[in-house]
Amino acid sequence: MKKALFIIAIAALAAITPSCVNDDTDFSKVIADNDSVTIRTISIDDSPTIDSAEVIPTSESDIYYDDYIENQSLERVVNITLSDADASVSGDQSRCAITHEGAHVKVYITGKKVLLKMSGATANGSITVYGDNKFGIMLCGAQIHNPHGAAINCQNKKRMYVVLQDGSVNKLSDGSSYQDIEGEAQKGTLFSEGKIIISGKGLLQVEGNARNGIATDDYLRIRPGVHTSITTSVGHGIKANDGVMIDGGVHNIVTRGNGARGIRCESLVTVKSGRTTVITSGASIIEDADTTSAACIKADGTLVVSGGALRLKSTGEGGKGINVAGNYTQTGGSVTVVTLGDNVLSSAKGVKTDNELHISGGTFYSYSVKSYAVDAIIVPYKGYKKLLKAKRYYIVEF
Amino acid sequence: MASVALPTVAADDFGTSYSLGAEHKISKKASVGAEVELRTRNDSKTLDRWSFGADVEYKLCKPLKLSVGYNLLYDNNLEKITRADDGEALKWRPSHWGFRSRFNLSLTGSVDVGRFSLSLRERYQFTFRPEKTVDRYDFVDKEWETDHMGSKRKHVLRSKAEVDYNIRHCAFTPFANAELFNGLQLDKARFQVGTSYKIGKRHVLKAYYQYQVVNDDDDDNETNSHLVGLSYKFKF
Repeated sequence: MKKALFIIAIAALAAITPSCVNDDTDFSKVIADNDSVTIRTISIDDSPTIDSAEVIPTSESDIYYDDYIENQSLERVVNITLSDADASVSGDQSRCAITHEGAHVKVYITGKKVLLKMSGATANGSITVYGDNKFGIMLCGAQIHNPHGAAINCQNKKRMYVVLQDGSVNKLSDGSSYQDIEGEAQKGTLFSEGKIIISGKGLLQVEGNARNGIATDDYLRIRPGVHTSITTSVGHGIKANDGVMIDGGVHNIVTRGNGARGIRCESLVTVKSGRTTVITSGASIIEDADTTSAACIKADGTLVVSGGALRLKSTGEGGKGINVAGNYTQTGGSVTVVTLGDNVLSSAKGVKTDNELHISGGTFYSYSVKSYAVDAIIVPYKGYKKLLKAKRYYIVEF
Repeated sequence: MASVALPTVAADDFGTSYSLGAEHKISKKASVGAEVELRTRNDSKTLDRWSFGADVEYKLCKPLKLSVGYNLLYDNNLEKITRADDGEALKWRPSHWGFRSRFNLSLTGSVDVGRFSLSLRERYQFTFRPEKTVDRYDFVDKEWETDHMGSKRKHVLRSKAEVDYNIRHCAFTPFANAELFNGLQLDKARFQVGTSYKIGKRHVLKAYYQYQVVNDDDDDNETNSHLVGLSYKFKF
C-alpha cells in the first residue's frame, strides 16, 4: 500500500512540477511596444537646419518660373529708411511714386523691376504698396510696428518678393486693433492681395496682435534659407487662400487665439524641406452655429509632405494637429504631431482628413492624449519598417 | 499595434487529474466523503484547478443511492481575447485565478448483470461564481484597464451511465462511462475508460483516460481535451 501511495505521489509531483507554465497568448511584445510609445516633446527650435537643394525653374513656361527672384531683374532699387516719426527715401524712383506721413509710407509702383530696400526701426510706421507690377521688398534689418494696422500692406495683386537680407533680423508687428481703410483689406501684419514669395537667409519675426501673422489672398511660398518666427494672439499664423508652399527654412509658428490655426489655407499645402514647428494653444469656439477648432495646419485642399521636418503641437481644447479636407500625402520627411487638449466642443485629434491618408515614405508620428491619433481613410501602404497603431497613437516609419 | 492573427481551429488539449479522497461509512446506509483534486491543462504544463469537496451519500434502497455534495473550486480561468472582424486583438484578459462554489444533488441507480454492474447517475449541479475584478488590456487605448466580472450562476444536469466488469479473483475492475452535461443545451460530453484497483478493503486506486467533447457554444471557454486521471480513496 505504501508503495502504491508513493507512486501516486511521485506521479502527481511529476505533473505539478512542469505545471507552472502560463498558457496565455504571448502579447508581451505588443504591450512592450505600446509602452514604448511616449509623448514626444515639441518646442520652438531656432537652430539651423540643412535644406535640400532647391531647383529653380529656368523655363518661362514653368508655372512657377516667376516665383523666383533670380528670374527677375529687380534693378530699380529704392532705399527706404524708417525712424520713429519719419522716413527717408532715396534711390531710383523712376518706376514708383512714394509718399509718407511720418513713418507711414505709401509706394505706388508704376513700372517693372522695382526693389524696395527697407531698413530702420519705427514704433509707429508701415509700408503700403499699390500698383500692378510685381516687385521686391528687401528687409535689411527693418523693425516696423504699426499700432493701427498692417506693418506691410500690399494692395498690389502681383507677386511681392520679400527678401531677407543675409544675416538680418527683421521684425513686423501690429497693434491690438486696426483702423481699416475702405476698399483696402488688411488681413494681417504682413499682408498682400497677391502672391508672397519669401526668400533670403535672414530672420523674419512677425507678431500678430489683432489679426493674422502673414496673410495673402493668393499663395505663399517660403524658400530655403528663410528663418521665420510668427506669433499671433488672435488670428492665424499664416493665412493663404490659394496655397502655402514651404520649400525649406526654419519656421516657428505660435498661435494663441481660440479657433486659430498655425497655417490656414483654402487650398494646397506642401512641405518640401526645412523644419516647421507649429504650436497652437487656443480652444474651440462656436461661430455661426459651427464649431471651429484650433489646428496647427488647416487646409481645405490636400497636404503634401515630401521632405523636411514638420512638428505640430496643439494644446487647447479640441485643438488638432492636422485638419485637412483633402488628402494627407506623405512621401518623405518627418512628421510629428501631438495633441494634448480635451474634447468638449471638438475632438483633439492628431490628424484628421475628410479623405485619405497616404504615407509612402519618411516617418510619421501622431499622438493624441484624449482623442484619435488619426481619423482618416487610411490607404494601405507597403514596405514600412515600423508600424505601431492604436487609438491614441499612430507611428509609421519607412 | 502589431496585429495578432486568429488561431486556427484549436487543437485538443491534454491534461491530468489527481485526487485524494476519503470515505467514512457512518451507518449501513450512509457515508460521508471528502476529496481534494488537482487538474492540469495545456498539455499538462499549466495548473487548471484545485478543488476541495465533501459529500454525504445515503442508500435509499438496494438499487438507489442519494447524495449531496459541495465543492470549492479554485480555477485558473483561461484567458479571453476579444477580436475585431479582421482578427486583430482588441482586448485581452489574461488567465486569472478565482473561486467558485458548486453544489450537487445526485441520484444513482445500479443493477448487476452477471459480472457486469450497470449504473446511471443523474446529478443536478449548481455552480456559483462571485463577482470579481480583473485586469484587462485594451489594445486600442494601449492601456490596462479594470474589468469587472459579474457574478455567475449556472445550473447543469449531468447524466452519467457506467458499466463495470468484475473480474473473478482479480483486484482490477475495469469500467467505462459516458456523461452528458446539459445546461440550456448540451454543453459537453465526457467519455472515460479505466480501471480501479482495490488494495484490501480500505484502499482503492483508480486510473482512467477521459476524452471531453465541448459544444462550441460552451461559455466556460473550454476546449476538447484528453485527460489522464489518477485517484486514491481511503475507506474507513
